[in-house]
Amino acid sequence: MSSALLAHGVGGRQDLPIPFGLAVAGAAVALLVSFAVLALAWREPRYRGDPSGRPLPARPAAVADASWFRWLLRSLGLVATAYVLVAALFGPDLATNPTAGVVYVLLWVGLVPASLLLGPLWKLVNPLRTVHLLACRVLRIDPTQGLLPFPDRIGVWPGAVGLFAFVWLELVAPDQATLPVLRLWFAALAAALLLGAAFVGSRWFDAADPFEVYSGLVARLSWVARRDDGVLVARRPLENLDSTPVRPGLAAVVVVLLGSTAYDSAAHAPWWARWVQELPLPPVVAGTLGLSLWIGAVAVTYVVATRLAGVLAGTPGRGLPDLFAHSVVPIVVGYVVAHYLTLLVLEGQNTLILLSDPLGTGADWLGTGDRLVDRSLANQPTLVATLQVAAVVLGHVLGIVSAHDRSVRLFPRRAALVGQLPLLAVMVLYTVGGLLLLFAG
Amino acid sequence: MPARSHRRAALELAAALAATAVLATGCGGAADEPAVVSTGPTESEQAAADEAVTTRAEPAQPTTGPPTEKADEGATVVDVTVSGGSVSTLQGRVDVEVGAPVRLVVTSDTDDELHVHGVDVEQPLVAGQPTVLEFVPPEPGVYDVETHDSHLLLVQIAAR
Repeated sequence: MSSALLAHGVGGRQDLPIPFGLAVAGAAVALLVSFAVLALAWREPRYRGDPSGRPLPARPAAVADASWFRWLLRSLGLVATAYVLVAALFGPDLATNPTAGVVYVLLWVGLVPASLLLGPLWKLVNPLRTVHLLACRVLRIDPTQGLLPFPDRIGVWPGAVGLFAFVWLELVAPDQATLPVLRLWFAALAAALLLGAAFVGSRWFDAADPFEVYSGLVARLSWVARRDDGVLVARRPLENLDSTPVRPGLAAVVVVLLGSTAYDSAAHAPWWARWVQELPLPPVVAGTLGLSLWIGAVAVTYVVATRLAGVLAGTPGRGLPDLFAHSVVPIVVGYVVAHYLTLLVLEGQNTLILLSDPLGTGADWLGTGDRLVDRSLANQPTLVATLQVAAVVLGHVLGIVSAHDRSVRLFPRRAALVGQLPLLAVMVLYTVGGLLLLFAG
Repeated sequence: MPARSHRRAALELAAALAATAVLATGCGGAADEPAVVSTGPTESEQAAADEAVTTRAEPAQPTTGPPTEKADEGATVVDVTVSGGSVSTLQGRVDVEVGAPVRLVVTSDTDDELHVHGVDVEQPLVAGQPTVLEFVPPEPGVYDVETHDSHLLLVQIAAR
């Protein structure tokens, strides 16, 4: 079942227009050159954070904030969820059931381009948030108020835990594309989110909903944002990224996202698969161990690099991993493009076709049932492989730019460059390591 | 302010361009003679690997059908033995051509199900008996050959 879902990898190292070793070396040199350019020409912080951006024109801004528009979006979220629930609860547990495709392709992967284009979309359509809001309306209580205080130091740590739970489901859980497993996981998520919201109010969704946390973070690379004073503004993506609120647990969120991508790549490499299946452990245990190992490796390298940056720059601090976490977001997005582009295009189409017949009765509710998947991307391995390398390299270059601006803001001027060397080293490591894993085999 | 933001945009662009330029230089370098030399061996290596697989598998053919069978000609044959939950495959990955048939000969010491991920063909495995599964990779990509019950990755077929 699970195997029927995931598309086979398109584009290998031999499909690149240049020899693979040269691509990897070129990527590393690209990072070093970018750093040199930044070091010479970018000595003052240029990103202004929250005050930046240009207010949106009055009319679109008014529509975006209008109550009727918000309810329209919430209704769309509820209707779409109800539709998928029909398939998830009453449809047959076969590869033709669209539920797994909706979860792993349309929601998990589709969330990234959607949030890049439209901002923190999931928050606006999140059906669980709407259920909580409606329940609060019925009970005549303020949805933002909970029974308990919610200390700031918790930050987005619950979201990091939720994201780990999701990537574990996606990459490790046995039979993860079958209905009983998906039902159980999402029932647990709904319970955890609704109970938490009952105790601490709707802030819980911002802090703990893995899809809101992910979508909100990726949306920081979009062109649109809301200033602290409530005004909707259009911002340049990197400046928008720079205004990401620094909250405890932010580093954990990006580390889980990056580490799980690394694990996903590694799990498809023959040497890793062989090593894991030789272990005298059940596959679930070995997989959980492997996933934790890769996330742990990213966590250690990232925390050491950011803390060392502070030490070298003469301003050590425990908060540095969170302060630099935003610069990992473009890297995560680069890997998502590299890793899931073909999955989104090919399996996304397939899911839209399957959605037309959620109960497996031969129905065609959406009129998409007789479409065929356009597989032309699958026959463009050179294009795919080139896009993969380009996405990875561009993600890291944008990461270096973001980290550089943050460094010259945080660190004393003379020490800022020295302080960045560990960050540069870790980014080169992630680029080279990421490409080697992506094209493993 | 506009001047500043222009300069910032220019710098970001410069950084991105620098990256592209370096990659492009790599490209240009590769387009010269060394590229021809360096891609040459890869292909011949691959051909050699294909040959090796076919040759290695030759003894398996009599057990699966009369040697005179013409239909098998040209198929890349891959032998896999599974025993005690561990997999014996010479290479982790076998390179083949898109549209060319691949013949898997799998012997497992337990009953299981054989599955080729990506083309979704399945075949039951009976303990101790070599099972033959032939498929044609329809498009480029890596096809994982796996067992369903024991969740083992047997071999990857990389079609180009």
